[in-house]
Amino acid sequence: MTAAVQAYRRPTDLDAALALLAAAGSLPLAGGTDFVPMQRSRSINPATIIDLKHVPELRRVEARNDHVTVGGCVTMAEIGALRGVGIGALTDGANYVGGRQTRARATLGGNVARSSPAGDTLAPLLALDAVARVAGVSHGGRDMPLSSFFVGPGQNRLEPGEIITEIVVPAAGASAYLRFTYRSWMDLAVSGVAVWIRPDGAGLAEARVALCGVGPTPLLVPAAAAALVGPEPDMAEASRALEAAAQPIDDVRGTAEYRLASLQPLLSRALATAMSRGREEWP
Amino acid sequence: MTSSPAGSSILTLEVNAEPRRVTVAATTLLVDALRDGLGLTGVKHGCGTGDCGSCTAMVDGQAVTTCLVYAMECDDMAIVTPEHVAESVIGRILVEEFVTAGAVQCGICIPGFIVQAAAVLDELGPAPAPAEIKDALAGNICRCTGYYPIIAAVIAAAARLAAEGGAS
Repeated sequence: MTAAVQAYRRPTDLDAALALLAAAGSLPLAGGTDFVPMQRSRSINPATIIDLKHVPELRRVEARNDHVTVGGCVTMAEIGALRGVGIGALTDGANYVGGRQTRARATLGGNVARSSPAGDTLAPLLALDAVARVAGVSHGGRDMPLSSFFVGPGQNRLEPGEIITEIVVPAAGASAYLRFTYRSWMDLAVSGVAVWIRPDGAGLAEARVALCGVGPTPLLVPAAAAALVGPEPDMAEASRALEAAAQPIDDVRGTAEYRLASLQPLLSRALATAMSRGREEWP
Repeated sequence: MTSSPAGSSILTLEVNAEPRRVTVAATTLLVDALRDGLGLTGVKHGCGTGDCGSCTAMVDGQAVTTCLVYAMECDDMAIVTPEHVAESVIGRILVEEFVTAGAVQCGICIPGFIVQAAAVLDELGPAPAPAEIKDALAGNICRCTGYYPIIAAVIAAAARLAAEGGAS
């Protein structure tokens, strides 16, 4: 089945978009930075391309006291420009994606739906305990915590015809994301670590740690987070927990052994950045 | 946009400040519509995967790689190609400084560099650090120059733009 693409559609409201997406062979297009090369190489073969970028509710960013709601078609450039300590890991990740031309197009909903094991916003969203709001023609909408969203490389729990309308990102605490690449720009993560913390005096009351590039999906590592909580973080135990949870492979970007070895320094530096951001917020 | 039974559509675009119409299929890339449909060959079809930046043009005021954009996505939008950027104040300064710095060898990447540099020059300010320029131009690849003459050209252009009043 490699039928040529028949049509391009540009709905301007969500109901129209969902109705179009319910048709067999329809696929949603957001920024296109993955979609276009995948369609050109026939990895995907849509009969109809549904461009979501003109649906206003998918383009909104709403910052509240304790969370930020980011529409599925909000670009990496827009996210990278957001300020606020709590979602620091997400802005870090958005600013790592591609070059400026790519960040002007690539979207958060697209990055989540693509579900790459190395997606630069995904470990941050896990560490921030983000939830995807999903719409489909058969239901009014459902919330999908990202902690149970990813099931394999490029695979997630979205049903055909569903789209991510927005991502709800809790914004309390402080966070940071750091990745390892061989080149400073325009590279995919060999490995990455996102850390979210809620400080308590000199120590940490709560923490979350998420990894990317070291398994079939981005993943949360609760045992590593538990080792960081308390008056003094146990870095050795946290690093051991990360290495135990990771399932890295050898590929063109690095060996499994090297990926494992990268986790301890990434964790240590991401935690230091998150703590420094926390201190700026609560001096 | 008007559709025809054959699956092609006629788009209405503003290209380099003039209204243009071009016939495209659903998956015609913007780079191909510009080059083959409108004869604007300043955008180059390089990698085709958004990595090299040779096809950079402005779409509604934003520099994008036109190999990752379907022409249909740009219906009723404003496109600015390297040909037009090179005639702007910023573009002329950049072209002159690229020549002075010896920042051009084979040349295929240069239109993309000029568009991207023009898009960020105001933001970079009068005295950008090389690291800021590297970050701003990271989406453009040059295989000839080693980048240092390009960075020198952008530094010189930023200084000149500031000295000449910042007119864009």
